[in-house]
Amino acid sequence: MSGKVLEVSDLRAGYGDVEILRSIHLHVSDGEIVAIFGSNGSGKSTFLKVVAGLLRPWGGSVRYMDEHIEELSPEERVRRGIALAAEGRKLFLGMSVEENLLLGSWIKRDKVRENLERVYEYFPQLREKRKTLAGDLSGGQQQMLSIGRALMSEPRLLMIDELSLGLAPAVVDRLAQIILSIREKEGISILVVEQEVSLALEISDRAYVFDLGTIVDEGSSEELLRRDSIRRTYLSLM
Amino acid sequence: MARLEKVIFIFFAVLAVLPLLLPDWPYWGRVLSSALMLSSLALAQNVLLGYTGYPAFGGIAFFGIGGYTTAILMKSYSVPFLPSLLVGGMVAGFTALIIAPPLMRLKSHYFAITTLALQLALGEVVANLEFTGGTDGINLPIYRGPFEGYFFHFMFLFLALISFLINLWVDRSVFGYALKAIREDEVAAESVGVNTVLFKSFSFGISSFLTGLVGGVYAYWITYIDPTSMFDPLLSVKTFVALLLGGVGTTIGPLLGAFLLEMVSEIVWSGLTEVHGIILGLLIVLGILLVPRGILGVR
Repeated sequence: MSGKVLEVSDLRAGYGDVEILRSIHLHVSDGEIVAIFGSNGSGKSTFLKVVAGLLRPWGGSVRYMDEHIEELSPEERVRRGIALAAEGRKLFLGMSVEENLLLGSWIKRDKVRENLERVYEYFPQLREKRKTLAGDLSGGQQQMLSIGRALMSEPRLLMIDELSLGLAPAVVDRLAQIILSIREKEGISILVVEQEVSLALEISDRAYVFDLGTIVDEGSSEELLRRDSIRRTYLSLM
Repeated sequence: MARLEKVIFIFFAVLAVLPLLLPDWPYWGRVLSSALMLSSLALAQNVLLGYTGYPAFGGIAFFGIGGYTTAILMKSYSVPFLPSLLVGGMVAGFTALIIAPPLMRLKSHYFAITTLALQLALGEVVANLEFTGGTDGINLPIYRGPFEGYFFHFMFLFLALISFLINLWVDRSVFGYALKAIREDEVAAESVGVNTVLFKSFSFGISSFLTGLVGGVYAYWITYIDPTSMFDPLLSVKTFVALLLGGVGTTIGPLLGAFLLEMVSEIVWSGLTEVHGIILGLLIVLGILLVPRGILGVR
C-alpha cells in the first residue's frame, strides 16, 4: 500500500445541474487525522457524501487503500472500512441508543458484543443511556452516539461531519479528547469536517481549506495555524 | 406486548372452533371471513408501511394479480385450487420484487400515488385482455369438498395466522431491524451498510405475496371476479383505515383495526341501512381524530 488510506484526484460532484465540488485533490494517510474547514456551502459535507458513496461523483477518482471505489455502493464501502458520522447526526431517533449501535455493527454482526463494549469504553454515557430513545438524548450525547455507531463497523477510515455543531464548548473539548484517544487506540485514520477552525487545527495533523467547491489552502495544521491568511480569515487573530 | 400476542393466538384458536359453536353460521361465516380477509390485507400492508415506511396505496394491485392468476390457472388450465393459489401469491410477490428497485426510489406520497396508478392501470389492462375474460370477468366453480361451508373461513384464518406470524418475525428479526432502520432514516441506514434496495424490495415482495394469496382465496370464495372487484380502490382505502385505526408498525394493531372496522361496519349496515355510509365515514373520521396513532400505535 502507498501509505495513503484515501486518495482523491480531480474530483467533481454536485446536485442536479449545480456543480458543488470542482477538481478536488486530497489524501489521508494511514493513522492520520485530517481536517477540512471552510465557509458554509463550500462543499465539505458534499465531499464526505461522495467518499461514503451517498452521492455519485461527476468525474475524477476516489481511491481507498489503492482501490478505485467510485462505483461501489455505500454498503460495500462500509464493508471495506469507511464509516461516516453524518451531518445532522442522522440517527434512528425512534430507536434506543443500543439499537442504534447494534445497527452500526450491521456488517460485523458476529462481533457485535465486542464492538459494543469497545464503544461503551469510549462513551460511558451511552452505556448509562442505552435504553433511552436516540431522539431524547442531548446534542452532545447524540454526537457521541453518531460517532459510536460509526465505530461499530470497525472502520479503517472514520469520517465525522461537523463535530462541534450546536454543542457547548465543554462538550466539544471532551469529544476532541475522545477523537484523539480513538486514533491512538484504534490506529485508524480520521477525516473531520469542522467549521470551528481552531478546533479543527488543534486535533488534526493536516488540514484542507475549502472555498466554493475548491481547495484554496492546505498544509500541516501547525503550519496553517501560523499562516497569516488563515489567522486573519478564520481565527480573527489579526 | 408479548402477553397480548399470546392472547392473539388464543383468539385464533377460538376462531378455529367457532364454526361448531355459532348457530347462524352462514351469516357469521361471511362476517368473520370478511374480517379475517381484511386483517390479512392490513397485516400484509403493515410489513411495508409499518416496518419499512412505504405506503402502497395501490397494494390491492397485487390482490388482483393473485386473484386473476389463481382464477386463470383453475379455469383455463384445470389446476387444483391450492397449487393455483400458491402460484398466484408467487406471481404477485415476484412482480413486486421486479418493479421494486425503480419504484422504491420514490418515497412517501410519490410512492403511494404511483402504486395507486399501477393498480388502476392494471385494472384497465385486465379489462382489455381476452384471457382474463375482459370486463365480463371469470366464473369459478363453487367449492365442493372437505369442510364445505367452513372452508373459506379456515382459509382466511390460515392466511391471517401466517400474516400475523410473518409480522411477529419481522418485528423481532435482523431483517426487521434493517426495515425499521430504513423507515427511520434511509440515508442513515445506507451509511451503516444496510443494502436498502435489497431490503425494501424483499419487504415489498413479502407484502405483495401475502396480498396475492388473499386475492386468490377471495376469487374462489366469491366464484366470480372482474376488474372492478379485484382492483377496487375502496378495498385499498379500507385496508389503510384498518391499519391506521389499529396502529401502524405493531403486530396486533392491524388485526384489531380490521376486526373493529368490519364489526362496526356490519352493525351499522344491519341497523342503519339508509345512512350506513355516512355513519361509517363519521366513525372512521372520529377514530382517526381521537387515536391518530391508532389504538395500539407506537409511532
